[in-house]
Amino acid sequence: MGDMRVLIADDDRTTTTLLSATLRRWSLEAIVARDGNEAWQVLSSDAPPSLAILDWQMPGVDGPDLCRRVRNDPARAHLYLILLTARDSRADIIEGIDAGADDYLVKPFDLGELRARINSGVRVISLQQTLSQRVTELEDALANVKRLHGLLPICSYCSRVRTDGNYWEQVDQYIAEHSSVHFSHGICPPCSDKIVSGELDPEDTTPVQGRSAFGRLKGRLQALMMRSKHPPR
Amino acid sequence: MDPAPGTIFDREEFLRRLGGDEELYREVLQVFLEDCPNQMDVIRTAMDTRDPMRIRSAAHALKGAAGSVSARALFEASGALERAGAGGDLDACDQAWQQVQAAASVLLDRMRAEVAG
Repeated sequence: MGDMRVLIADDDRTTTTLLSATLRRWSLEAIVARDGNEAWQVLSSDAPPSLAILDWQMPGVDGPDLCRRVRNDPARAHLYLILLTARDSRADIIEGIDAGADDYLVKPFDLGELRARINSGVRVISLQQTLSQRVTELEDALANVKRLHGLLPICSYCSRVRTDGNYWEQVDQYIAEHSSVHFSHGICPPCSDKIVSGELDPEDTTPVQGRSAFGRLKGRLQALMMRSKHPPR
Repeated sequence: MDPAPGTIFDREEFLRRLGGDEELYREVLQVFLEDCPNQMDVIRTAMDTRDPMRIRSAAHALKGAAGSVSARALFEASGALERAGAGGDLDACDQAWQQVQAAASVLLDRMRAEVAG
């Protein structure tokens, strides 16, 4: 059942011996409390055991009261509590569960029943641990995801957007910073017609040295394209 | 002295509840043998104070231990003492206390023999 710690709270030594020896055989670590006050010290510590077997009637704080204290404390509300008692009337069972017990074991119990109930507790605890681990992972992931949201002021003329710092930024720069989008730069057909074609004008007689760097590159590209279309004979 | 087998101490039932673990059986029996006289002392003190609630609480603890080791006669007698205390009936407490002492005496002899053998 794994290396889980279990609190046993009972003022009867025979019962605590029986329980702790049994838990040890199942590879569970038993912590024994001899009365309700000792049990509360263990349960209210910084690292309480995740499962507790609590006698109903003990000196100090009784079992149902311990259940109520645990359930009223959000930091320990997840603990799995089994009430152990000689009381077995329907009203007692309801009172115990209402006080916050997860399960109920009537004395004298047999080890088969104890094992089944502890197994059920261990299953619930593992499920809770898995779930809370998943929630933590998801929260971490969410904190790292860049998100685009809210109202974004944009210039009606140049399409720059105003950032949180009151700077005006190019819209592509803004989107890259606030999302996982990576831009791959290209030239759309209308821009190609309007801007690039002008620079690639074959009738352009400006000497290559006199053109801009961009124009020179485009001139070379254009010459290459012309050559592949009309290979020299 | 023993009206029916298992009335004082139901060895078979106790072992069955322990899943047949003889080692655990002896370990728990040993602790019961050590602790039962202490629990009797607590009841004796409560009887001396004539406080029914203290008698009830002390008898309840012994009943739990007796039930754990399938000591049926002591379980019944301490249960009767617990009820008498809860009802505040001190005469009934005196009677039940006699029963508890008788049952404990026979039981402890039986268990000592069991552990020694």
